[in-house]
Amino acid sequence: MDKLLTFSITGLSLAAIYAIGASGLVLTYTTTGIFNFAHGAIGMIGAFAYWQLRFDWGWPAPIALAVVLVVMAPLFGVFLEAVIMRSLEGTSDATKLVVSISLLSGLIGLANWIWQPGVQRPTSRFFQGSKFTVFGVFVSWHEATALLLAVGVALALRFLLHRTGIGIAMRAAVDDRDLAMLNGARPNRGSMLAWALGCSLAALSGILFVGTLGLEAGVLALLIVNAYAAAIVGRLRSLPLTFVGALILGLGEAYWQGYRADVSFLSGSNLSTFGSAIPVMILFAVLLVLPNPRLKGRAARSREFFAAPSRGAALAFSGVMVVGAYVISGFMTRAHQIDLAEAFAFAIIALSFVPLVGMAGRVSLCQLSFAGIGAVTMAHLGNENSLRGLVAAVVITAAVGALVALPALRLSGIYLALATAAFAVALDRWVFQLRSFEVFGLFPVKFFEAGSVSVNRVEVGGISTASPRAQAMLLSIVFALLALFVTWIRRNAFGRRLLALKESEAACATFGMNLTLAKLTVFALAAGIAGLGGALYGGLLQSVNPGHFSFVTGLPVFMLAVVGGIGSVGGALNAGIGLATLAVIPNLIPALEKVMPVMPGLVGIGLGRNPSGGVQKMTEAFAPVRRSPRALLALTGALALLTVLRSIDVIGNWPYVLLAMAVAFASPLVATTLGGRGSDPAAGEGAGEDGEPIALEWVGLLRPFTDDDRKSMDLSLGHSSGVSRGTA
Amino acid sequence: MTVRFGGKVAVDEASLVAEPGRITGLIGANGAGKTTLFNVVTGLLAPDAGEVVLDGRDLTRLPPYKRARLGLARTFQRLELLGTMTVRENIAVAAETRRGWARDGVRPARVVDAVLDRIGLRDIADVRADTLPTGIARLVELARALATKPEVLLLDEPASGQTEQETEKFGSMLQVLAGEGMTVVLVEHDVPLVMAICDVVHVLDFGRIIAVGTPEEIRHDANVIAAYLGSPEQRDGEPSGAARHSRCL
Amino acid sequence: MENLLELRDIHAAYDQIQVLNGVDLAVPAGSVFALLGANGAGKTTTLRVIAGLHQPTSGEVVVAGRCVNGAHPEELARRGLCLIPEGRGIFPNLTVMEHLRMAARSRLPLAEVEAIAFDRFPRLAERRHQMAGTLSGGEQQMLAMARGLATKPALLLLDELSMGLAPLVVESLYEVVAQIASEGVSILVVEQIAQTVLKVADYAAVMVHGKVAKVGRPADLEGELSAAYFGT
Repeated sequence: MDKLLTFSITGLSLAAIYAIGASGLVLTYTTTGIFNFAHGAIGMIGAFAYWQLRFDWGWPAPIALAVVLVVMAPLFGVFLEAVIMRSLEGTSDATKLVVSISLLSGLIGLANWIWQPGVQRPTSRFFQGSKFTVFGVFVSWHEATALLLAVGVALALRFLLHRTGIGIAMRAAVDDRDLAMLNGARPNRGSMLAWALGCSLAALSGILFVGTLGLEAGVLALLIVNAYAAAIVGRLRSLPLTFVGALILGLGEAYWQGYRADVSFLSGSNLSTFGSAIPVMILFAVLLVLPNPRLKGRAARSREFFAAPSRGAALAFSGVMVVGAYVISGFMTRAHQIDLAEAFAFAIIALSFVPLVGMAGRVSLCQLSFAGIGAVTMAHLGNENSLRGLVAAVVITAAVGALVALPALRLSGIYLALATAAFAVALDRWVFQLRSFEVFGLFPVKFFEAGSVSVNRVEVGGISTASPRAQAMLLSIVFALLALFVTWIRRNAFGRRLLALKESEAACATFGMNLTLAKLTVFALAAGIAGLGGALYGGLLQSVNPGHFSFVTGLPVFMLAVVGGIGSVGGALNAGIGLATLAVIPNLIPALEKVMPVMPGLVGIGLGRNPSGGVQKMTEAFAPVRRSPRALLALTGALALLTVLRSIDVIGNWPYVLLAMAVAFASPLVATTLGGRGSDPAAGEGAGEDGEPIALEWVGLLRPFTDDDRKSMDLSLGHSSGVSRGTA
Repeated sequence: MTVRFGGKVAVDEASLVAEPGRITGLIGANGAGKTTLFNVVTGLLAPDAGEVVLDGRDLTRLPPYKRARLGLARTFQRLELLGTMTVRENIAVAAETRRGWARDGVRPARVVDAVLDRIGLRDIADVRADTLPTGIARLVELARALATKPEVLLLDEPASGQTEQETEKFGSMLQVLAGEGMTVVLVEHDVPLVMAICDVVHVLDFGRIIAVGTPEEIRHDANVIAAYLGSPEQRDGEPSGAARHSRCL
Repeated sequence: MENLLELRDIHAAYDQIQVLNGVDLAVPAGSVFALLGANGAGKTTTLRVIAGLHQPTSGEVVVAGRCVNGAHPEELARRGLCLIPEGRGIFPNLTVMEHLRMAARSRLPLAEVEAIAFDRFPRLAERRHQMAGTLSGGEQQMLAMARGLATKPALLLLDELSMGLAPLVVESLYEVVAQIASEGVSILVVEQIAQTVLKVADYAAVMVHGKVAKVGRPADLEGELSAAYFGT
């Protein structure tokens, strides 16, 4: 009886913390329509800030609390609303999602930057962990405080939303924003208040975890992610149901820890880590049993657009890449060759986003987890025959992908993102920690054997890829082939079907498409690509552990792919190169080491302005080069010259890279100068000395101004009166 | 057939029969339940009661895509074009999907070409769909529906957003299609269009069919005139159809 | 009589589709003005332009002698213009009382708002703690009107008041409309179904293809309607 009571109290206080966190999430979601993936990270930052004030600087607890909860967190919320979130209005769900995921990843990076990880940070619970007894059971004041605070939050939110004018206006804006405006309400003020309160509540739940757990950014941020399950129970709308959800979570976790050892079949060592995965399991389960949403027609029109690359362009891209990798890797140190190989490994994994997210519009946050499964498969099945291992990695991850997709088929948008995140975290916390076991005594299943496993490098037909340069070449060739494959899909009937699926499920169903089959296929395909990437990545590293494939590690891969343009293979390459660059830069400029983890986040947050991604922009910028054979020739020539200079050691590695980049960036300008813009009517205004037309903006630089130029410039600017005055 | 949304009856025991080779019109004021009826027929919405029958086969329990494979095709009032794809791709994706299930060896490319020519979209085949004005977009939706070679064509408000000339052309196109034996069901606000091209007109009011007949009969039907313009008795304060309407309060 | 609202040659479009092709309209102060027409004629767009929810491509919206082109909807609402949109215009998850509190925020004390609403619609007083989403269609429309009235508007814009409602209910709602007008509020009603509104309207106009085809007293218009709807 005492035991039951003890664990009930532990569970209740845990539930209280989850409820506080989840209610903040629900508040921001309902009033602004943005599901804040970074909610947990904001709570984590709040916890660190509190630790700084309370324990590092020794402020009294009430003052530290007040400063964090009443000043810093709300100000941060207002800042977020004004600077980042407001501009997201009217963007697609995917863009909103990416921005808040970027914020999550960026904040974890920020925390690790300010508060060095791995350092012991003394903390204590509220009231120095002192206790009192109720019915003969010890209860800590900390737990009691959490409970009281949760009740207080519930009452305060109830009062705010039902008894105050601005609260009612906030609820009105949830129902119908336009109508609320017609009634003279100002929804922006409501949004700002919601963000301020949301951040404050996140911080409070984070602070309540201080003292019960060590301060570690990633762990703490994801702990509050547990609270998301409670929010989903409340269907992201209802605060009372959210509190119910928090109760289920908190009590479930506490009873599991308390009673697991008493039940013989639960006490196996493989279930010892199951407890920490309970919240995400509940999250996954709740997402699946949510009432089935109707086939929705067009939701928010997405602004993203990805052109289908021509076959020639894709071949050229792949060829240039493999040749480039061969040339560049020749100049590199072994360490840099491994970095290059790693870039291609990540690019392969990021490529799995292209059909799934870019074409079919379904966000998955567990692609790196699939890569992990691929690596594990390779480790255990690729020992004798590496090709067999690769095939097994692809087949098994594709099967797992389909299996995961099956229950999640009807989910989309944030719900699918959450479900895949839950799956990834469940793998992190539980499955990847498992020791080997037998399934019904039929076949053994092995993961990381509670540590790390070694993975063989690929050997094809007696050709070993043991050297770092061979690894770089192998991965670049595999990436090039997969890039061609994905481009081929984009151009064929299956690719069109995926794009159609993203645009309108209702339309697809009414012209006879089996949506279930299409979704399963693309999930399996994407998982298979990620699995292959993971197997090769494992071979590159030779020894892998669960940390290589964790949810948090996967976030930058996703974000950089999106930033590069998730609809194109170039975006995937961008993600790989970006990650490798982030890894390399600290070696060159040590001062930047801590800033690097924040970078993907910052880049992702900037996405709202250009949802089609950077590669699309670059392709457009290079259009003049591709249209002008002379410019292409000049570009190739310049790069070849630089390469020759490098290979005979006239210039070093860095001048080579910098000059090559300068040449590449200058090439569009050169191309325009050489007359690539013939179709542009403004371009033909003035002819150069050799009779070539010169773009108007280059006149004066390439040859002196003439009166005719001035006239045509005035004309094109619409200053016809200016012309007459000038000549008069 | 009955459909309810949260206690409110959207479609209440409406029955509609469409015959091959004819254009069946369905008119009614806003909120009368016309689009709901289409959603039920194509399977996007399940009815609370009643059944959907095609050629004697009960479709009521089939998912939307299976109904499409049995010959149902539709357009959408709010346009469900595949915006980032070109006109040709919009039609191609339907034709290619059809090849997957029809298995009659008809090459999708041939279907696409035929449909492009038939609807007169050849000139804009490589234009992105979301840049098209509504009038043309409606043609693309029609083309996409035709690419599945349907037996029954359901058109939801095809004239809205079209100019008068476009509507006229659209109407004669439908007459040609019906002349080839296709069953055409037309939901439309543009009553003059319905009156001009339909063989049979159903009038839906409060989720019920209040009149069925030829355009000429409908034009003079007292119930219809009452529904659109208010009935003369009402003007004297006499309740008309009070039993029918009282549940709404 | 002075015109409270004037539209001068309004053109408006959604994307490339021209919806309004030069709408001219004058609503005299204190009158009930019915704007009729078949679906797609541009009636709702006209209301949205007046309320500031849609920017016209050209033309002027003049309220009480001042051009309000480009004014924000909130600002217009605060200046006494109240639009009750098509499909009720209520918040389904707010109670009746909370709707009134929304209305009370900007101008009047709550007690006065309650008095306005419950005197006019006693039925709402019985339902004051009920969620608006659970009210009947007629009650929802009453609530929408009550909330509009509680802002003490000078000009009330009603979009398809009768949509989906039984004729008897529509009739009683229009009695209220007539009362409101008799107290000096100008009312512009958009309707597809003409008969009931013409009984209370002082003036009426018929829109066809984004233009006002005919303006006059209700009695003058009755013959035109059938042509506008059925194309005979």
